[in-house]
Amino acid sequence: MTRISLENIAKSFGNTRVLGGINLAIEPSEFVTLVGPSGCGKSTLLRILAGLEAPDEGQVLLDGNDVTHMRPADRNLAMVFQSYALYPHLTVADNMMTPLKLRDLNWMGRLPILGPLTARSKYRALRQQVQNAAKSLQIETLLDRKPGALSGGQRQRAALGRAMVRNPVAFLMDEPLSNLDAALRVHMRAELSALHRRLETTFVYVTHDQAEALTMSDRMAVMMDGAILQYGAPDRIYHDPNCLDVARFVGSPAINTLPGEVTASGVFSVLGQNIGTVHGISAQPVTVAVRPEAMKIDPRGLFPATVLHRENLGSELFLHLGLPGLSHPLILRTDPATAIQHAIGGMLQLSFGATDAHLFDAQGGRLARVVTHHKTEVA
Amino acid sequence: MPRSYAHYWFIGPALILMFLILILPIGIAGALSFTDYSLGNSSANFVGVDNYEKIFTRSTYEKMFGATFRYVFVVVPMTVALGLGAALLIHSLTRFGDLYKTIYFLPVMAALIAMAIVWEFALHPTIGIINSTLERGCGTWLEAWSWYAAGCERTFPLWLTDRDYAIWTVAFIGVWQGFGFNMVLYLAGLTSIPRSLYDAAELDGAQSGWDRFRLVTWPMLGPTTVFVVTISFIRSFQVFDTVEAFYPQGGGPSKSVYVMMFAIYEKAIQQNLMGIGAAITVVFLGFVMFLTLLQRWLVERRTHYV
Repeated sequence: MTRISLENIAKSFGNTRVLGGINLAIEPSEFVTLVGPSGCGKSTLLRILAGLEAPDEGQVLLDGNDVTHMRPADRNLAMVFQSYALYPHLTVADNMMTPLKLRDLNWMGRLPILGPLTARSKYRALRQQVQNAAKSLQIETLLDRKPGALSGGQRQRAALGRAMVRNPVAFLMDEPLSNLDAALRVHMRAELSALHRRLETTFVYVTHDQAEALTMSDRMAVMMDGAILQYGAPDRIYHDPNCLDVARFVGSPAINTLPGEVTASGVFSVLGQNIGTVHGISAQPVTVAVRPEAMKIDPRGLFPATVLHRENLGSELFLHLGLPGLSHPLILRTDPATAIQHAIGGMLQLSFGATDAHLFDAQGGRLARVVTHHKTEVA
Repeated sequence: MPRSYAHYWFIGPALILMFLILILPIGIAGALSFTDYSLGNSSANFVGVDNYEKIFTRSTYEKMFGATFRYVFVVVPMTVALGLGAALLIHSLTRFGDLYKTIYFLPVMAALIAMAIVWEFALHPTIGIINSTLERGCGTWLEAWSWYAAGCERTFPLWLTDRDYAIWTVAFIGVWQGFGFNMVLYLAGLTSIPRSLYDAAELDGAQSGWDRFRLVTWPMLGPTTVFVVTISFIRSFQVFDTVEAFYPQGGGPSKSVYVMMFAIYEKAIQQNLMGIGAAITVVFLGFVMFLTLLQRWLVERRTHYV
């Protein structure tokens, strides 16, 4: 049970500032995901936490102890790499044994042939540990194979095994699923979550895939340009993004954006149509963001739209809609049964609830929620 | 459908060339090794395995094998070890790496025959820089070393003309000349090791450089090492130009530097004994063939890819 905190971490490579004063607190046995587009500094942050990079400024604390200048191995953190980084000349069992050997045996015990002979009881204990870890990952049958003879998913498990075997205080994972094919990735998502529940250890998980972040984490930190934009539960980040970049990054298909305006009296309109009233916002142009599932086909809707494209996924269907006066299409999520009458090129009326609209100012900062529905006021 | 003969046209040129410039000459050399043919003679007599018998019984050829193997078994381990060492050092540098690379690679690029002349001057017993430098050390603590004291008392060795030293001196020059080549091969091997393996080793607790070398660098250089060792063997079996430059006549003091390539040249070209020359060539080919097959076997058995 270890509490991890990163305080004011800054890092530059040459003249490029990759991290600018990051603060992040991770509770014991929490599953935290660092998610962001490539180049946002998430992997660097993880490497600083692991001890593979030294921060220019700031501190890494494990349970309140400053470990910023401690070697990675002494922090007792385990890492799973994107490329798995298994030692290709060693069998899976030897791969898993390596961290134990390096930690628990002196140089004599590590000698190739003499080691196992002189430190026999220790070796037996280490092998037992390897067996236990292999059993819980169901890779016992693979222990004698070399990584070259394993499939992607099996290598993934072997890498997890090597990380698990020494009972680290936290697992650090750097895009561990991105080398797997799509079906296996979904499967491993569930398996990693199950592993986290079973081990009750802290997981710090780095990914560029917002779906992984949403599905697995207890909390996720959305990073962009070396800063954490929002840190919170996935649900909260999805439904209450604190800036336009977060809103756009999280969710697939991406959130719809429309140009809008708020007048001095608090009336807020989109494409010339009054939608609702807001309080406490000065008169300004705004960006209105609406999730695809909040878009409705509504005969009384305010926005006429043309169907440009249909994406049928079986259980759900996305309609790409063109609106007059809007250069990019909007995406509406519906079910195939409803969408059957809307062929490509057809017209429909579109609406969305005022409370489903997120308002952002010109800099992309979040504005207050819309509170009143305009139409009900009029009626 | 008419039968197409296009495939013959595709492989034909390569096959013909390979046959003409590789297989045929080897076949002719093999055939000549059973005769007493000389260039200019209209015919030759079949002498059976006489030539081979000579190679494996006469003392000249015993010296030839002795000199060749001494040279090879000094030069191969030394060039491999120094090449690896230099590569590791240069790879760890953040600056001036290219400068050192160039410096160590210079002897490889230089014409060895010209370098041999320079070495001949440097190793000259009276005017050479090496012995005169050694003499400066006389009368100091270096004399505690009995070999050094003996050198001071009489003279320092005649490096190139003393039969106890000649082959080792030539081997030393071979090492000096050859390790830069291996260094470049090892540098290529080092850059192909994934960084993440070192990260993994660091997290697994490989704290010292030696641990990292044992766990990652050395195993990952396995394929490179097999190649480097094989190519070093073949290159040092082929040594000729230093010997020819130092000892145009007869292969050094008491034939102590009479390496195979030089023997082939002396017998077949200088003395026009094509038969025996061809026989040595076939034996030489056998060595190289054996090494190549050994390499293939090692590569298939031991190397691993990520």
